[in-house]
Amino acid sequence: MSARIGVYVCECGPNIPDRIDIDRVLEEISPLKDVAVAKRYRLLCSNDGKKYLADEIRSEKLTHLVVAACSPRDHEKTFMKVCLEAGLNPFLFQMVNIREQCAWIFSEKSEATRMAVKYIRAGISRVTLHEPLLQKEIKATPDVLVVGGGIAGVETALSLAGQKRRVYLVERSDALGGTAARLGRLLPHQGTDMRLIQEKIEHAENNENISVFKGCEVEDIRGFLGNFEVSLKRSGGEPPPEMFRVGAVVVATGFALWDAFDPDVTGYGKIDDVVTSLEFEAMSASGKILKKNGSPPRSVALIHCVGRKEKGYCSKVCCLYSLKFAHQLKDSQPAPDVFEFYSDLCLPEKTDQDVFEEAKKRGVRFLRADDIRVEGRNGKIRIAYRDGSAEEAVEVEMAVLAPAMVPAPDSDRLARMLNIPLDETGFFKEAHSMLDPVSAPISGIYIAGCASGPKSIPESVVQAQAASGKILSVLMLGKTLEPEVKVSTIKEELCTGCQTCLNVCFYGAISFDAFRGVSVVNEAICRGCGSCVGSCPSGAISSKQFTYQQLFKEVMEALR
Amino acid sequence: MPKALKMDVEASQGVKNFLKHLLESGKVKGVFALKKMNDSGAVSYSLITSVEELASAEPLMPLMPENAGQALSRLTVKEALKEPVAAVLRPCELRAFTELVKRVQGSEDNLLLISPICAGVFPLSSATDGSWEKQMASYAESSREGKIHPGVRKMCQACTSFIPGRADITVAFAGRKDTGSSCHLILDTPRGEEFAQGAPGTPETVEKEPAELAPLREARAARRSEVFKEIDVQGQKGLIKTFAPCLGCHGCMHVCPICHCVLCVFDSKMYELQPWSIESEPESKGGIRVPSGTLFFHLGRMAHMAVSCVNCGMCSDVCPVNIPVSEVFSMVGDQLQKVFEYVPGRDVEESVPSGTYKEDEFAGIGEQ
Repeated sequence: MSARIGVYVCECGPNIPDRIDIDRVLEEISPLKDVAVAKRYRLLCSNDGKKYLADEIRSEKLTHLVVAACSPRDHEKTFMKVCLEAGLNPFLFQMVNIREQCAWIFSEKSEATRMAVKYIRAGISRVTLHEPLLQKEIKATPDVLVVGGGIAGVETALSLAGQKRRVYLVERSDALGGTAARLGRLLPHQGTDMRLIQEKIEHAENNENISVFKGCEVEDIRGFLGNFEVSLKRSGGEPPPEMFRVGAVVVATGFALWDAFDPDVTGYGKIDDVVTSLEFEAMSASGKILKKNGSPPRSVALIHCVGRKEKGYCSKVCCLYSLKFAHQLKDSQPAPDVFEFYSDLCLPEKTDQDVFEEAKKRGVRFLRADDIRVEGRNGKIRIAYRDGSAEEAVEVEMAVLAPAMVPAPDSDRLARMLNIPLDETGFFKEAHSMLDPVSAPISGIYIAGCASGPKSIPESVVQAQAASGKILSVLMLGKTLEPEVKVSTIKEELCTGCQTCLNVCFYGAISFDAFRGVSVVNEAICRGCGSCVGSCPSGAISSKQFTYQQLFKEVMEALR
Repeated sequence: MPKALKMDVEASQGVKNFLKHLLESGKVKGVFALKKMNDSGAVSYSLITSVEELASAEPLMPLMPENAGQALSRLTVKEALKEPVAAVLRPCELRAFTELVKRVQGSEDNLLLISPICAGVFPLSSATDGSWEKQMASYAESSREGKIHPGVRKMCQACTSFIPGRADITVAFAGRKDTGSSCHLILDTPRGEEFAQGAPGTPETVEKEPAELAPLREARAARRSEVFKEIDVQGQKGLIKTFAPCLGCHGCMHVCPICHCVLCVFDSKMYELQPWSIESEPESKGGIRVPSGTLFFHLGRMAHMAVSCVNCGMCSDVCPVNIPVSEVFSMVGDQLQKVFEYVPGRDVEESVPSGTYKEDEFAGIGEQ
């Protein structure tokens, strides 16, 4: 059976006929080989237009369809759906953009018309080489693995479990809650007390849809969106508790405090009563903020930004919690002198300013300081610093360091296992830091909370809820996944097994079959970006619907 | 200064004695080296496993019937060697093998790599007419004197990478005055030292590139600029002039160690004349060459392998119509490698630029 190609030029209201002589175009196109019909229509994307197109496909017994209209970004999907309804494989259709790429850019009507003819010829020449591709469906499990049982992990688990999803919540330590659960108290305006965080943890522990694995780590994860296989190991090295399948993975591994600071500069570990912020929180949680000798400090220095210069980023939350410490110290009787040593204050939330003003009113002294050195002197702590060009010093009885937040240990191992990238700071890299901040670059893997960088508790909770929302909208209960159709394929007889494609595949869609010595594409993961096609030294890889022959003929006609 | 083993025989015999020791002591199960096939003088790379067979080995014979990198790849591509094997290959061949290992076309496991400071090899035509043998005396002499022998391959005359970079054992050969009566095996790696334990010879320390090698390096560099000056590949005109005699035999590609594709796309039917080009090209050009695509083949091959070109000269040597293929590819390779700060064969861990994804690489080019 020879091809019967239907070519339909859409007027798009006045957009196209004002600038392109459509009748002239049809005159040129009609006599071309295999073109059965070439017609114009007012507005093909309208309901009438779609019905007209479907009728035409059926009545003209078209084998291929070319629509010359707007950008495929606007209506390619629309017309593919029309094909499907009219019984034509939607991949035997080619859209030609004569609006944005012709009508709107050429000032001369004759030039725009000439180019429209070329583009349509190019579309016709490629469409005859199209293969009827099939939309596949793959089964997916709606269950989710959450790595990390901090506030972000717990919130993710609760959000998903509330929608009847089975969640596997894996926590390396022996308790859920992470850093948030170790805090001494919260600020009054944060509107809650520590019991609410404890309650959240208890809800997660008791939720029948959440399987909590404490003292466990992920041993291995393999697979792709909808189908990950997970094995766990116990931190102590005991036998692994279980293997299970999940459809998505949430990385909520949190952070650690930077501890590589110089003891000669910070005094930490060398001078008594120099503590880190988390050690102060622990004292606060026990209700006893005391020096090593058991007496309450009469003066306290709160030192911001420990490691900001070395790490190259602001940890965002230290200014506010240092203010929290200041208020807490001022609440005790008798209230000690409190000094805040800062270089810049980062207080971005709408309620933060009041906390700062209130602290000033309560006599907390704010010292803008450079080159801070913590020195021991006669049982006291001397904070030497530079204020502009002047060398200054203050003596206190306790110093609290606010070290930078750094990636949780072993982040790199998890990143390798999941085949997702870390950024230059060592935190997990988002698919897009601004537009897709809770997704990893690989489908089915999400990031919530401090795993992708320093965040406050509310920010972590927001991210957990966002990641849950993404998962709920991708992995729907009882629904299958429709993977990309225009994927890469590898001609195994040409593959030398050099594995270059494995290095360039951003999505981790290619693996190496060591037994046969060839690379293999996982069609469920491949997004059809074509990187592997370009990189294959042997020309063994091609992309469905972008084969060399299709591109060659298309370009030949466009340049003719 | 690196450790070395001094032997009181000329270099070729010294290497043979060392290989014999390795085989006899069981430190290696095989030797990979050039071996005489018969009395005609034909040599081939061979895997030798008995001391008797080793008698006809010619590890330093200045001929390259195939780039040994390619040969070693054939031996190890399916599976790494399970028993230790000593391989003697020239610096460019070692670089080629390294490039192939990077592309997973071979494995260095269980290989003891031995490579000479290289005085060059004779063209293959001199192997068939026997003329290389007549030149052996003058070859040895100019090697000792640190001079370029006029009979060796043009690319060998213009080679400045004649000192092996990553061998376990380097044979001090070119530019050494003493090679007629004694030789040094320089032990570059702990592995080299380990295998040399108990081998005949006296331990010494020697410089790998002594001052007496400087004139040879300078002469080769000067020759290289001369060779490149003779090449005219400026624009389409220069390219057509240079490659006009090409028969399309693809011999250059078949002997190239970097060209490792199972089936080269240019050997396939993909670029045979297409109906549409028969229709359009004669119209625009007034005629077409049959077969077409000569330049496309050379440029296509260049785009794929020039960044890894090891300057071995195999391609020029086999070209039946004397196109200076290696000279052109080396010249382009030099420039390309500079751009990517890439040295082929330098480090087996260094990834090939064409297979490395960098988000912001050459961002400026698109903006110009």
